[in-house]
This record gives sequence, C-alpha cells and structure tokens, in this order.
Amino acid sequence: MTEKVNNKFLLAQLIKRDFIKKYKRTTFGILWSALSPLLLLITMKFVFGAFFGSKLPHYTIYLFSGLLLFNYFSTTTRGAMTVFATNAPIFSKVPVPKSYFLISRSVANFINFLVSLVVYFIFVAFDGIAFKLNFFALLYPIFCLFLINYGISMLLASVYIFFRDINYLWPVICRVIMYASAIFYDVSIMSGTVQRLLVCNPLYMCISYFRQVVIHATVPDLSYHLILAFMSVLCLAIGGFTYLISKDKIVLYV
Amino acid sequence: MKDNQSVVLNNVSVRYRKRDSRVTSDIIKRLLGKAPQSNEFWALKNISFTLEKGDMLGVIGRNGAGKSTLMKAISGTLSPASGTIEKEGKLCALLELGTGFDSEMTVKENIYLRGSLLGYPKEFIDSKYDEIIGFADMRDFEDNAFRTLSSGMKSRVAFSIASMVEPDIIILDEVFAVGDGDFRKKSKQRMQSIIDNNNTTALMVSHSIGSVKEQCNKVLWLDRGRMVMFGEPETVCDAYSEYLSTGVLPKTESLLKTQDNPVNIKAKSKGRKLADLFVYLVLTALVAGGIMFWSQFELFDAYFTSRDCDDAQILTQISQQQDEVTAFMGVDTSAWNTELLADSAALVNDETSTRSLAKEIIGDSLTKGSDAYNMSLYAADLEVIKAVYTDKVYALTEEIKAEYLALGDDASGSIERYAFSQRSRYYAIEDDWDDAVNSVKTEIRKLYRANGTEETNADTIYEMYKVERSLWIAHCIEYLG
Repeated sequence: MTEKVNNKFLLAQLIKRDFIKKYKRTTFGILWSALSPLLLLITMKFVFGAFFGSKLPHYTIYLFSGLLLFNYFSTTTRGAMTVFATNAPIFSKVPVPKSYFLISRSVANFINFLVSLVVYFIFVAFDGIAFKLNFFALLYPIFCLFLINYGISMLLASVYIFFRDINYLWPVICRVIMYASAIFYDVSIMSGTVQRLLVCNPLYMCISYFRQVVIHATVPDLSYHLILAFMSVLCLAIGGFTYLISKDKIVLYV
Repeated sequence: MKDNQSVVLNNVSVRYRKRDSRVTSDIIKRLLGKAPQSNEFWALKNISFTLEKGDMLGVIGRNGAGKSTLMKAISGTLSPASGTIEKEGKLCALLELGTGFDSEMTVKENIYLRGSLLGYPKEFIDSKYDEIIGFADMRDFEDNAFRTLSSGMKSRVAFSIASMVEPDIIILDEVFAVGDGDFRKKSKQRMQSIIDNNNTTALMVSHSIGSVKEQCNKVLWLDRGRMVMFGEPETVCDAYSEYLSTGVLPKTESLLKTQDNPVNIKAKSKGRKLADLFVYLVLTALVAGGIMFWSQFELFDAYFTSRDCDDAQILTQISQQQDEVTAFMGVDTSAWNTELLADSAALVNDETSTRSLAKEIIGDSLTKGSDAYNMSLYAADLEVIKAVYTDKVYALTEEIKAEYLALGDDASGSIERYAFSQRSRYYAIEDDWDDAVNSVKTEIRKLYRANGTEETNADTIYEMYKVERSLWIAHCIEYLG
C-alpha cells in the first residue's frame, strides 16, 4: 500500500519537473503553450488562407484543429525520443521503473496541450460557433490521441537507445505525417485512393473528428470510433512490446 | 533464502557491449558474410556469495574489476544477463553521488525529487527536510538553482538525502571522499552509525586495504569480472597485497570456475527461436494480406455486391441513379441521353482510337465477342469520352482566364485563385472518370457472373452503359457550370 502511495508521489514530482522544465528560464513561461500555436496559426492562415479560405467554411478553425493536434503529436513524440537517454543518470543510479519518465513526460505534454486547447475554444467562440453539447464528444479523440502518443513515445524512446539515427529520421517521418493529415488543405482535392489511405493515419482521423464536431456539428459514426480505438490499441501494443523487450538492456547502452 | 540471510548472489553475470553493435561497418561485414569483431564483454562472470544480516563486505580489486558493476547489479539498476540476486529488506545505494540531479531546479525541488526517486513518502521528506538541509549545511542555498552549486556542495546534498533512512542493506561505492574535511568527518560518523547497527548489511567498495581489514568481516576480491577469493579479511587481503607486488593471481577454485564464458541461461532455446520465427511469419502474412486486400479492393467489393444481386436489381438501381440526376440537376436526362448518344455514337464509331485503347487495356487476348473484348471496348469508349471532356475543361478554364485578364492587372490575384480552384475541380473530375470506368467494368462483371453468357445480356449492358456515361457527363458539366 505504501509502495503505491510513494509511486504516486514520485510520478507527481516527475510530472512537476518535466512541466516546469519545459519553459524554465523563458520570459513568457507557460504562455508559450498558447503563443506558439497562435503564431503558427497566423502564419499558415496568411499563407494558405488565400488558396483554401474562400472554399472552406470557418477556415481558421479548420486550420487550428489540424495545427493543435499535430503540434501535440509532434512535440510529444519528438520529446519522448530522448527520455531514456536524458534520464539515464537517474535510473542508472537509483532503481526506479523507467516507464515513469515516459509517463511523466507524456502527462506534462498533455497539460501543455490542454492550455492550447483553451486557446482553441476561445477562437471557436470568436469565430461565431456556439458551444454545443456534442463538444464533449471531443474527449474521445483526445483520449485516443494520448494513447497513440504514449504508444509511439514508448516505441521511439526504446528504439532511440539502440538506433540513434531515429533522431534524424523521425522529424522527416513527422513531416510526412503532417502532409498526410490534411492540416491546411481540403482532402477532396486528393484522389480517391489517397483519401482512402488517409484513413490509415490516426492523426488525420483525430483531426477530422475535431472538424466534424466543431465545424459541422455532427458526431462521427460508430465505425469511426472503432477504427480510432483499434489504432490506439495497436500503437500501445507496438510501443509496449518494443519497450518490454528492450527495457532491461537500456541501461547498458545509454 | 534462509531467515538470517540478507543478500544471496547465485552465478550472477553481467554482459556489456563494447560498442554499438549496429554501426554501419558491422552491418556491412555481416552482409559480406564476415563475422564482426566480438562485441561482448563480461563485466561479471558467475559471481556467487551469501551475506548474512549484520555482515560487512569489502569489495577489492583493481580498476575495471567489476566492483561498481556488482554494486549496481545488487542495487537493482542493472539486470544481470544470467543468475539471480536475492535481497531482503530496504536497500540504500550510495553510487556516484552528485549525478542525476536536475540542474535547472532549485535545491529544495531537487531534494523532493530525489527523495521520491529513492522511494521516500512525501510525509517522510516533509518531516526530514530540515534535517537534510541542515546536515548538508545548505540552508542559505535552498532556493538556488542546482547548477549554481559547486560539485562539493552537490555531493553534500546527495549524501544527506541518501543517508536519511535506516536501511537494511547499504551499498557504499567509495563515497567517503565527499565534501570538505568537516563534512567528511560528519558523513563518516553517520555511515558508521548506520553500519554499526547489528542488523544492517553493508557492502563497500574500497581501495584502502587497511580500512577493509579494519571494518569488514568478509572480503570479496574481483579481477576482470571474475571472483578470485571470498572469505576472511585477513586471508583475502594478504593474498591481494601479495598479488599487487608480484602480479600473479592465485589459482583459486572460484577463479578457475570462471575461466570460460558464462552459459547465458537466458539464451534463446530452439523452441523460443521457432516461436519467434512464427511471430515474424504471422506479421509478414498480415502485412502482405493487407496490401493484397487493399490493391484488390475493387474486386472484393464487386464480388460481395454481386453475390446477391440480379439483373433486375441492377437495372432498378441504374434507373434510380438516373432519377437522382434528374432531380439534382432539374433537367430531363432522357433528352441528355439522346444528345449524348449521338455524341458517343460518333466516338464509339471512331473504331481506330477505341480499339487501340481497348487493346491497351486488355492486351492481346482480343477475341471478338469474348467477355474481355466487350468489356475493354466499353472501358476504352469511356476513356475516349473522358479525353474529349478533359480538353473541354481546359478550354473553358482558358476562356475564363482570358475574361479575367481582360479586366486588367487588379484581377491577377483572382485569376491565380480561380486557376487553383479550377485545377482542384479538374482533379475531382478525373477521379470521377476513373471511378466511372471502374464501375462500368464492375457492373459488366456482375452481369456476366450472374448469367454466364454475353449474348443474353448485350442489351442490358448497353442500356446500363448509356446511363452510366450520361450520369458522369452530367456531373462533369455540372462542375463546369
């Protein structure tokens, strides 16, 4: 019993550390969680608004939905990659479950995402979209995305220890995922095959879920939910498997 | 493990990699069929010993003998490649003090973090905080960022936190050289008070034979990962001193036992290898199956729809589609049909282009009257019409562009935008055409599958084909409108 309480306390301490560390020694601090997506949004709206803005309703929200989720995904996965490497001085001296460092980093990033989410809803209100009860359905894609991020984080953090090249490979893959997430363009300009392939991208599924709920005021059907659930479980399984087979060797390689 | 035993090691071995095994040169060597240079390094080989409660073990040996690795393995941060380690009670390891702190956080935050890492509950740190900061003599610095401390100060904080508990097992890895003279004395006293407790088992690494002899009741001598001797301090230390002067290792039983590399008991058995192979095969099959299903999606789709679909149903559906177009466009499509029939008749009668296209689609097996022949003709026909209408789309785009240009320079932005949207529309049309060709093919296949022969269905097919074509041309014109 005491063991459990201690673990909770340890996790709280680690989350606090990861969260504080992110914007430590910056002037704006946590405001950056809101500022950085905002600045990006303004840039993209300025660049792509001329092309797509006239055709798509609520283009700002359309863009923001994509940016918000993609940023959450890319910062979490990129940051998680080096979790074991940077925390090695701790877990090679003190016997502590290594997964705690991953969990704390994920949760700290999630808190950052929640801050951005508040800004998102402020924009939604400004864009003249009234708050509806079906906004609560957004909890589902958020939850799924957290699981997907955690799975991919486990995978990347474990792989990074044995294959450091992933550090240079992942940003490229991230960029591909970004273009495959239809953040700033309308999917209908793509061919049917590409549209069908996009369904394989869990990030696109989450973004599209956000857009359907916020802009079109509908909730996707059951099969959509099942696909997302399947993807989350798949990511968790792949990541968990990689972590499990490599966790005992990590300390020898860092 | 018996009641009075505290630490039991049974054939513990730890293996390191000398360097990363996945470096490119190794991969190339492996590809060329040469075995890469051995990369294994046994930091510990088959170490076995037992400590009882209250024992004080001194570990001696030259640099790189595996002393610190042994301490890490016992503390639990390293898991051995083979063998087992059993330990009883709360363990406190003082290994390489001063590392693993967060340089950006304050001393106070670091104390809480390190305390939680060591497994202390919050209430315990709250109650001991004053004692910790007092012992380290850091009260004036508790809100300083950790990076601003000197290395001596860092070690003092580390020692103070780690020694705040009363452990059942304590591991000391040359930590007495901490801080300045005053603090060194204080820390030595504290260590002594922990060790002096009769129930505490202590393990210490030391290069000072004198202090080992004086404090320990058991001594372990390691040399390059091998256990040379384990036993009474007098015997072991004397043998070690002799070795230091002569450089000759005594041929003890335990040393001979570890001449060979340890048998890696976690090595994969034959069954495990087969299981791995099975997993890989299943994964490959899944991926291959997925790709196959994806590429043949149309076929599967057609098969499942045609399985329980007869001619009448297909015809009903086609007429429904026609009605939909009529309703959607607000025009009578039957008129379209007549118009388009004339158009397409001319195109279809242009035998050379249609036939050459058909040949491209179906290949050389072009027996007149065969299923393949008919199907490819229809498909080719659609391709021809598509080509004509694509040209029309382009022509219209150019026309509109010219109109905009006539408005003057101010309109250039709008032209760009217009061209862009027009292009995306064109892509959409192109996809629709591909879908149309595919759907015609699918429909034809369905009908053939249902009735077997082509003669009985010729009329039906032609009817259906007409409707399909008009439907898509209607779509096309709607886009352009």
